[in-house]
Formats: sequence, structure tokens, C-alpha cells
Amino acid sequence: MFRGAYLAVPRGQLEAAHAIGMNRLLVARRVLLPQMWRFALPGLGNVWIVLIKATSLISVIQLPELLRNADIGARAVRLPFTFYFAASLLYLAITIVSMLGQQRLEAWAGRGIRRD
Amino acid sequence: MDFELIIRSLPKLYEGAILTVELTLLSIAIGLCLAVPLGIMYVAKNPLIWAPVRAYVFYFRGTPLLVQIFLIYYGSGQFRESLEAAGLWVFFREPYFCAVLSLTLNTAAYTAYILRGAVRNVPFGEVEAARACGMSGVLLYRRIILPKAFRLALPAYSNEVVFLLQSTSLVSIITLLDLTGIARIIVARSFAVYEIYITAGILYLIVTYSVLFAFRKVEHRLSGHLRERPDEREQMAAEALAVR
Repeated sequence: MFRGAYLAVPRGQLEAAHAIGMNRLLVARRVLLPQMWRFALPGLGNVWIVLIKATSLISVIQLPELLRNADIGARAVRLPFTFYFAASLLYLAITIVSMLGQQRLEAWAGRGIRRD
Repeated sequence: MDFELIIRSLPKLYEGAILTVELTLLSIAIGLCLAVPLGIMYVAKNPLIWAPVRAYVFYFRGTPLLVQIFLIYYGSGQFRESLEAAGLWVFFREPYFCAVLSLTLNTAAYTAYILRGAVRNVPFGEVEAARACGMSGVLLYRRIILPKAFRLALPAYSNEVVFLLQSTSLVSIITLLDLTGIARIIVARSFAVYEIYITAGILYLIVTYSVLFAFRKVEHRLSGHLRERPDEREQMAAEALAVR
């Protein structure tokens, strides 16, 4: 993903930065990284959301995370649907918050891009 | 490494792999049939049509598959009386049915989302040209938009199939004896954790790469018109050689 973002930054800009006397570190900080964020963020956001959903698998090895606790609750009061549905809504809420955060980050990363 | 144990457990693991492939094929087939109309409804202009579809896709894409499986398999127990009254309890009692149902609903949502992207990416010029030829509605979708959308969606769809194949390992939690389920049982009996899980992993790898290989073939076939034509003279020379 970061490799793709690195390749997506136009070569000419790096050359131009070298030409006006920036060293490699300065080029990376001023030209390369600010643009890499823009290309890498959509992919990073996806990985983040996939990872959040994957944490539910940890319940299988009994770590008391969201789904495991829902499981305990469902067994205790014998209302499995209610508890699992509540858990799913909580996962959904985390996803929504993540998506909003991702949107803001992407807007921040693309602040220098002209829109028409 | 206890190779003898691996060889002895291979037939069992193979049986599990068959169930894994069976679950995948079944849910992929039903899921695709559901996803095509859902994908088209997703991009509809009428909010009464797209709102429920988008809500469904959002829910199933935004929650973990494990939760969906639990919701259907354990959650249905909460409505046992009404399901029994409707005669549906015989299905929801079966882990196999619940697994197929949850996997199908999950993959239908993901596939509908992929198709929605593909339908949106059909070049507008092609749609315009079709309209200019007098096509509209069903004909336009059948002849122009859907064939193009399928071709656009294929790379993403092959990913989805592989993800679903790997997700079927979750059904071992609701007591189905798929590849992971069988591996768990053998490990519990023999304590040979590495031998068995590595073998199961290799079997998953084989199935995954066969799926990817098959999709590459299909993609190659469907993109014939985009490749450069082979040089005719060279081809004739090759044929002449072959005849001789």
C-alpha cells in the first residue's frame, strides 16, 4: 500500500525538489510524505475497518472483548438475538465513526489538491 | 514433524475440504443471484428502492461475519415458537442451513457493493450510444451495462470469492466439520498442533490458488477483444509447422 502510494507521487516533483537543492530527507518530509498520505489513506482505512471486524474472532479464544461479552450475556439471560444484535450495532457504530474519521483525514490529506 | 500422522489424517482433512468447497460454492452461487438485482437496485434513483438495499449492504459490510453467524444460528433460538409455528425451525435447527444462510447474505452484500461500483464505472458514452440506438430499460441493462459491469467487477469479485472461502472456516465454531473443524478435532485428540494446522493451511492454499487460477482464465477469455491480435503471418507459419 505504501509502496503504491510512493509510486503514485509524480517523479518530476521529486526531481524538481532535488534540483532546488533539497537533500533526500528534506524531499521526503516536504514533498514525498505529504502526498503519500493522500494515496495511502483509502487503503489504510479499509485495512482498519477489516481489522476491527476481525477482532471479533478473538472471542473464540475467550478474551472478553465485545462479542465474547455479548456471548456471556446471551447465555446468562437466554436472549441470544437481543445480545448479538446489540453487539452488531456496536460494531456498526465503530465502523461509522471510523468512516467519518477516515473522511476527515482524507480531506486533510487532500487539502492541497485543486477540485473542479 | 510426525509425517505418519499427517498422512493418516489426510483422508479426514480431505472430507473437511470438500465441505468447505461445498459451502463456498453454494453461498457464492445463491449470493451472486441475489447480488445482481441488489446491485442494480443500489444505483436506482427512487429512494424507496435504494434505501433498504443500502441499509442491508451497510449492515452486512459493517458487522463481522462471526456476529452474523451467531445472530442466525444462536439468535434464531429466541424465536423458536414462532419459527416452529411457521414450520421454519427444522431449517434454523441445522448448523449447515444457518452457515449457508449467513455466508450467502454476507457475500450477497459484498458482491452487490462490488457490482454497484462496476455499474457506476460503465463508461457513460456506451450508455449514451445504446440509448441512441433506441435501447432502454431491461434491454440496455442486459446488452450493455451488465456485460460491461461483470467484466469490470471480475478482479474485485475474485477477491471476494477468496475471502468467502477463507471465511467458511468460521462455520467450524457452530459445530460444522469443515476443514478447520476437522483439523480442530484431530488436534484435540493428538495434540499435534503444527502438523495438522499446517496441513490444513496447505489445503486452503491449494483451493485458494485454484480459484485464483480459474478466475485468471475467465478474465483472459473475457478480455479477448482488448488484447492485441497475434501477428497473422506468424500464426500462419505456426499452423503450417503444426500441420507438418
